[in-house]
Amino acid sequence: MSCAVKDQLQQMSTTCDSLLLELNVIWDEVGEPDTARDRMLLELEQECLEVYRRKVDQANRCRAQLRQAIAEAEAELAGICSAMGEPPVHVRQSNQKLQGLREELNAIVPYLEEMRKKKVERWNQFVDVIEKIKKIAAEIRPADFVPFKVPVDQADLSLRKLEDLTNELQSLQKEKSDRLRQVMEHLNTLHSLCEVLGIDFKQTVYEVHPSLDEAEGSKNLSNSTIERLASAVNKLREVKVQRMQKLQDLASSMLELWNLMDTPVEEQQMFQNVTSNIAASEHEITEPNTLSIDFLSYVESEVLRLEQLKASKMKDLVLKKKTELEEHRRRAHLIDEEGYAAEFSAEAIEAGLADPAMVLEQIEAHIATVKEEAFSRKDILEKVERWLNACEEEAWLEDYNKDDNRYNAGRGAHLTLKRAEKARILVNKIPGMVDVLATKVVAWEKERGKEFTYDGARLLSMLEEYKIVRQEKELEKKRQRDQKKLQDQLKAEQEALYGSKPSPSKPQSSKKAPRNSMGGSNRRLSLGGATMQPPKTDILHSKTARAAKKTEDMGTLSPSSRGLDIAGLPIKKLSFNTSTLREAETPRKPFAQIMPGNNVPLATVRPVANDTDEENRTPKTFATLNPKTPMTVTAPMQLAMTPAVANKVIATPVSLFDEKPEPTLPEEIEYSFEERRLAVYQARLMA
Amino acid sequence: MATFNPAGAAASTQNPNKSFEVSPAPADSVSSLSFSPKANHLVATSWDNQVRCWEVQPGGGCQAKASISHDQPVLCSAWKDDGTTVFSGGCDKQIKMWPLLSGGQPTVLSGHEAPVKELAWVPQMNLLVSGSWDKTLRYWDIRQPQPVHVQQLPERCYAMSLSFPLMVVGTADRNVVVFNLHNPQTEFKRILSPLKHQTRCLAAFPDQQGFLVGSIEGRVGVHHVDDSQQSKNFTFKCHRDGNDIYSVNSLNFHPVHHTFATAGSDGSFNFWDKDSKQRLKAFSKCPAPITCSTFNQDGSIYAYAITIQSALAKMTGPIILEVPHGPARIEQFSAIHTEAWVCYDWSKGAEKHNPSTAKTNIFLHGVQESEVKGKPRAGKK
Repeated sequence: MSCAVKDQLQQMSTTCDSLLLELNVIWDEVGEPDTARDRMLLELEQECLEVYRRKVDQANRCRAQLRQAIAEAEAELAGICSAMGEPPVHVRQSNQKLQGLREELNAIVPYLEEMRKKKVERWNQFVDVIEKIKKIAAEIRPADFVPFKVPVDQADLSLRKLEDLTNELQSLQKEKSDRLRQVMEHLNTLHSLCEVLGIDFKQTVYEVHPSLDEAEGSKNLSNSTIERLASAVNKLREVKVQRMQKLQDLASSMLELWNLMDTPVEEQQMFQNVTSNIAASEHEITEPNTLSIDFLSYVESEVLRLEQLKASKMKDLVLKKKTELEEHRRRAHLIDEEGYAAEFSAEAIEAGLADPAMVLEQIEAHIATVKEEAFSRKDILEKVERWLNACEEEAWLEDYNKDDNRYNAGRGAHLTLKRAEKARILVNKIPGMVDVLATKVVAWEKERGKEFTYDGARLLSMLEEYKIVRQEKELEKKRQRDQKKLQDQLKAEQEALYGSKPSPSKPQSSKKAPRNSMGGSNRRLSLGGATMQPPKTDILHSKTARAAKKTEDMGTLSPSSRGLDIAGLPIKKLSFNTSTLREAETPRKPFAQIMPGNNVPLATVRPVANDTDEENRTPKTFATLNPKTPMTVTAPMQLAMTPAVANKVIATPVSLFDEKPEPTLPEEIEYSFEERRLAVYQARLMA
Repeated sequence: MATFNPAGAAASTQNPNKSFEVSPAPADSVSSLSFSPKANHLVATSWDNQVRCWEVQPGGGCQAKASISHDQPVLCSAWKDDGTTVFSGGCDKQIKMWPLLSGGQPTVLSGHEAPVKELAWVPQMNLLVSGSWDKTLRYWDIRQPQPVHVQQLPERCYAMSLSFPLMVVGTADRNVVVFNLHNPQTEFKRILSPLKHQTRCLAAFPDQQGFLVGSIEGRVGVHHVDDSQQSKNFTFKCHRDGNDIYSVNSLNFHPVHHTFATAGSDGSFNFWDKDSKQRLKAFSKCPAPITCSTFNQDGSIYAYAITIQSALAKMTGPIILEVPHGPARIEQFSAIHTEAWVCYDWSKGAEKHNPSTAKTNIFLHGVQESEVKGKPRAGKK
């Protein structure tokens, strides 16, 4: 106790003593009884004691409060430290020398404040991390996912815990980026697929998850989203594979059709992108819209079009083959099996009753058999041909013999003479030909066991018929001869009587019915009748010559041209005696003069025509002409006619006739100077 | 007007008209001659596969300018109207376009399936027309190698002449096809030649009313297209010598006076006036056929080409033919003057034609106005 307080107390005790003395004095004076005095003194004593007791209680309470505050602070401090995972601070121990509870409390409070602040900071860190974790979890986990197994509170705010949480956050972040990458990959794939297939990408993605469609903002990255994305990709991929196979099927059929029909490259170019993908695997097809439905149907329609085209071409082919078959039959003079034609009818194909390919095959088979048969008949047919030609010549000769003017020296008459000569030789050979033919036919029929038909008629009967007709004709001839003899006798008698000869009657030869054409199958029909035909003039030369003369005469008579002739004095008019007329009449002939010198052999000339591959018939003319024209000194004259013969040969379509003289007056093919010269030029080049 | 005074040219037998001689001459017969429409540039095509160009100087001298060659004999040529380009066609079936003024190389239009016989440039349509033995006419836009139109002909094309819009084409078998080039895809008219023999050459009237046609039988027909003018048609004989008859090889209208020249296998050429039906001038005969001829653009030069066959057997006189296999009788034919028909150089038998012994000349005749100016007929009116 301080001195001042001691002094105060000493002072107080003195004042109390003094006061007591004063009271004793007062009492003495008043004469208070002792008992009163004693009671009074006891009261005083008691009152004093009560005041003391009250003060002590108060002090005692204050001390207890302080102690509790200290304990509380210490407890809080310890709690914070343990939560923060820091070693507890023992303020009391460290400050042994501290005196008094108040001082102790004052020492603890700053510590406590500091720790409280630290705790708040730490908690804020925790909250930050937790928030992030929650956000990411919401993105990548299903909606009902609870992020923390142990609830995070303020009980554990240690650095380790914080570290744990941070780690968790990092792993979550990593997972999120992984998923994001995955989703992006899927989206890319999806996008390329959609492009190739021609599907709306945005729509597809929206269907998988609405959030994926948004360009900005968080995307849902949960497992289910990814799964749905993957399944969408797979689905589209399947569609793509299907369509690709379809497209490739179409492309291959397209290629096949092109190949079949020789489609021009320009047309093919349009579908280059289709056919180029024919062998591509799924991932190689990346071009946008290559597999869209529109494009597929476009390609499909093209294939359909090509197929229709093919069908029509097939039909054409069938028709062509049919005509080929007919042609083969015609050439082999085969007419039978009329029924087969219906089988190959185009209508059947059109109606889908017959497969064109099948029909084609059948026709091919038919052609093969017909060809085979034609081959076996060839030998006989050639002979028949020769016989028929001989018959024609016979008919012609007969007509010719009836023409009384036949020895008149007209234009081309020497040719007719030559022809007649040859015809006579030929006619003599006919009976032999017929016999040989008959034996051949009989042998053939025996071998084959069927009749040999020629254009539907049996050849043997044709031959028989011919023999009969010939016999009849011979009889007729004989009769005529007898009659003539009779007439001559009569004439001689008349001459003897009147001394004059009757003028020979004009041959009734000028205007006759045109000769039947002898081409093709017609020939057989005209065969028998040919000999019966009325005689007719065959000397076209003389006829045209006459006609020409007439026009020529008129030409010179026309006043205007005469005027010109007069004006141009040196030009002499041609006098039209027969010789000059004929000279004027045969303008083109002399160019054949080339002939005598043109001894280029056949073999070397032919290639010219082949080589140049043109329709220039001139060299051929000369070639075929060459062997036929005898090289004699008299050439120039003869030449006047040769081109005609040569041209005739050209005009004759069947080469069979080559060996046979065909001295009918041909229609002439004229050639200009340049054409003739070119022919020689080329022949010379070849030589 | 260029006047030629070939003082130096001796009146040799080969050049009786003292024409100017173009040198160097082609090695083989000339098949066509054409003058540039802009200058005195002469182009000749010939059987030695050459296309040659000369520049004719005002004094009459000639300077060889350039030449190109085909793979086979060349038959025809034509100038573009601006005088820059020459077209040529021939037995190689090709048509070559030769921009010779710019010195360019010839390019090939795709051609025909047979030798090309005739060519003509149609300035009004900016097209080239070609006629060929493949029996077609083809129209060419020269910027593209394929023909813009192919016109079928009844026969092989032998001759063609153009006077826009009239174009006449002569073919084998004496067809003459008349086209109105305002409508080239249809034949305007097809007629048979008024002459009875093969068509050799044609010339359309400058007034487009008709055409001249020359035949191998020394005769020229004057024919009008319109039926109402048929009364003005006539034919006349020329290029004959006594009984010898020669082919008319070339017909050319004078570009100014519209009279015309004929040239024939007898080696002569004459100037005529069809309106007065007169011969204006006859020239001396060359010893060999004139194969082709042309006037230059102002009609001051007449170019013609001959080929002299040096060793030539003349075959004349009556020949009696014995028919080898005939009846016991000899057919006698009257004499045919074969010379009349074999007059054209190589047609004497082309195999006898030997380019190495033959001599080809191109002559230029300076045309006097008096020779070509039509005169009214004295007797008429």
